[in-house]
Parts: sequence; structure tokens; C-alpha cells
Amino acid sequence: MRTIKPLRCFDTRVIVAALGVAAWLIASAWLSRLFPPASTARVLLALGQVGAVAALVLVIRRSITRLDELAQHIHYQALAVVAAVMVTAIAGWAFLERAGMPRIDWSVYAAPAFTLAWAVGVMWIARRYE
Amino acid sequence: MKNSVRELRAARNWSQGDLAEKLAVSRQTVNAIETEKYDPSLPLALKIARLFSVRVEEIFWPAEAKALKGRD
Repeated sequence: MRTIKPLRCFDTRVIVAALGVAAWLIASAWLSRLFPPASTARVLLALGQVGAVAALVLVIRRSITRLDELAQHIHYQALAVVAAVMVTAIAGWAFLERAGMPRIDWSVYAAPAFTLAWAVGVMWIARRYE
Repeated sequence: MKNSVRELRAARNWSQGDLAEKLAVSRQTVNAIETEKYDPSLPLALKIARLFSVRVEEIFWPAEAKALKGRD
């Protein structure tokens, strides 16, 4: 018998991949400062950052597909809710920025905020099925 | 969606854990199906029907309808 553990998708493989991506994002951000804005090197480093984030998404997706059917259902529900919340938050904050609120660099905060909200969402939605 | 999974399981003296093991899902999934909080996917519904040797529509039916069991 398997016990449902929706957070099991955040397994060792995902954590290692996430740490690797985080290290690459920091290193490439530091490296890009060595080159002038809009230079080819900077654009390539930025594309490398996009690729790393996309690869992490694929690793997480594969991890979810290995879960129990109900656990997958919980994840997809949580992802849908969190995506809607994040779009609202980012778009909403853009309006507030125009009204004079401090600027938030979403390239830094979007991924951690999304991951945190996703984990909370999974735990919250899992309670419905207990 | 309504279902008779609990009755079919109880008739065989299986625990939720036993059924979960036979279906290769978690016990919570079986519990969520029995309490009608979760409708299983078609492959899982077919697996359940095959396990109990009945047709899918004899186990699962819309909330507003009655099970086909005994109607035909």
C-alpha cells in the first residue's frame, strides 16, 4: 500500500536540480555584470538562465507524474490556483508600482514565491481529501 | 459521482489498505473515492471494475441517477 504524500514530488532529485539552477542563476547574474548591457554575452547568459528555469520545470513535472493519481490531481489543482494568484499579484503590483510603490524585481522573487505558494496550496488542497 | 466501492470492498472483507494495494494507489485515494470526494480517472475506474468483476456503470453513476445494478 502506498501512502499519499503530495510533497514527495519535492524529492532529492528536484532539490538537487533546484539548488543547481539557483547556483547557475547567481553565477550567471554575477558574470553578466562583466559585460556591457545588451551585449551578446549578456543575452546568452540570460537565455541560459531561461533554459535552466525551464529545465527545472521539466524535472518537477516528471517528479509529479510519478506520484499517486490523487496526489497528481492535488498538484494540478494547486498549480492552477497558484498560477492565477501569481498572475494577479504580479499584474496587481505593476499597477501599485505606477502609483509609487517600490519596484519588485520579479525575476528574483517570482520563482521562490511561486514555489512557496505551490507547497502551501498542495498542503491546503490535500486536506480536502483526508 | 456516486459509487458502491465501499460496499463491494466490504463484501470481500478487504480493508481500504488491501484495496489500495491491489489497485497500486494510496489508501487515501481509496478513502477519497469511497467518500465521493474524488472521482477516479477512467483507467482507475476500469481497474476497479475489473477487480470486482462488474461493469464500470454498476460501480459509478451520476449523483442524480441510480446505479444500473439490479435494473437490467
